[in-house]
Amino acid sequence: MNKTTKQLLEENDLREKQLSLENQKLLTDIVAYLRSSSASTYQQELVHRDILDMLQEGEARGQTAREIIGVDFQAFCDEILAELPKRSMKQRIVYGLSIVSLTAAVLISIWLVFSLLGVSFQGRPFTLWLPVTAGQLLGGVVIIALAYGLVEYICRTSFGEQNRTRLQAISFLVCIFLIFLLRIFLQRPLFYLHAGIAAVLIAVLFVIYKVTDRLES
Amino acid sequence: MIPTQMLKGTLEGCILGILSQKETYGYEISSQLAAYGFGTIPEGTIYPLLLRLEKNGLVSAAYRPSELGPRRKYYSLTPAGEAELQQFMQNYAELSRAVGNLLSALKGDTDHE
Repeated sequence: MNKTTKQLLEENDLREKQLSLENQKLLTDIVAYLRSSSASTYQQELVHRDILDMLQEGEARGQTAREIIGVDFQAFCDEILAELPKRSMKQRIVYGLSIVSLTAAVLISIWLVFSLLGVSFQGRPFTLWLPVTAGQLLGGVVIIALAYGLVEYICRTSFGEQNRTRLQAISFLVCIFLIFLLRIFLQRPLFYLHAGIAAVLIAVLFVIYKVTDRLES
Repeated sequence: MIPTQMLKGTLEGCILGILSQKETYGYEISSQLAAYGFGTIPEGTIYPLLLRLEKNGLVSAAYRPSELGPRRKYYSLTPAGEAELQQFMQNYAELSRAVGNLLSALKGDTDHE
């Protein structure tokens, strides 16, 4: 995100800690719900700040969140979101690119470290040409997809208390199981990637992340 | 208490009316509505309406320091908002007259029986 948005976000997070614990928890749910919308992070944070002001002032008057906001928190958020401008197609592409490039950079880094450890300790002649298996490739895609699916789900249902930890546990187990399956059955190397090329790829992805993140508002 | 559905169409106009008196903030609007007999309308109901009015250029907002919190969002009427308020007053007078006519006719009928 750009500098203004980042500053606003940090300021909001810092101020949030001055609220009562109950209101902090509620505001976390509200912000999570706003995050699942297609409004830009900057717009979300402007609203975040307004609600923060509202709750803080209400607390000072001795009002509860229900008295300040009303009984239906999700309806409150939906009414707000209906008034916020949505991200344009271009903004959405930039946002998606920033998320995917960062995740891919992290996953390739992990792969690189483990592959290098693998070739160093397997006793075979050392080479910087590292095998990429179909399992690793598919596993990476599955991890990214599941992680974002899960985050999206948690954000959208942030006002429903039930089953959240159970859902997290189930997704985690499904993830582990899938990765195991992929690792066992798809062990055959698809191609070999030189460690140097991988390092360059990580750097390029990181630059893409940095640039798109700066562009995103 | 006035049902929410009935209130919905008129609340925006009423907020414009309150803002036409002087620039003010969310909680104060909520208190004034209560004083005029609208019942308890939480700030959370008013805030999305203010966002819409702001988006449509009918009100403008400015942040000022307050005695209770570090900052407060003050809303004031724009010239477009002023025009919208005039329109609302005309429309509401018409509605009120029509409903009044109907209700007094009903009352007249029952009186004659």
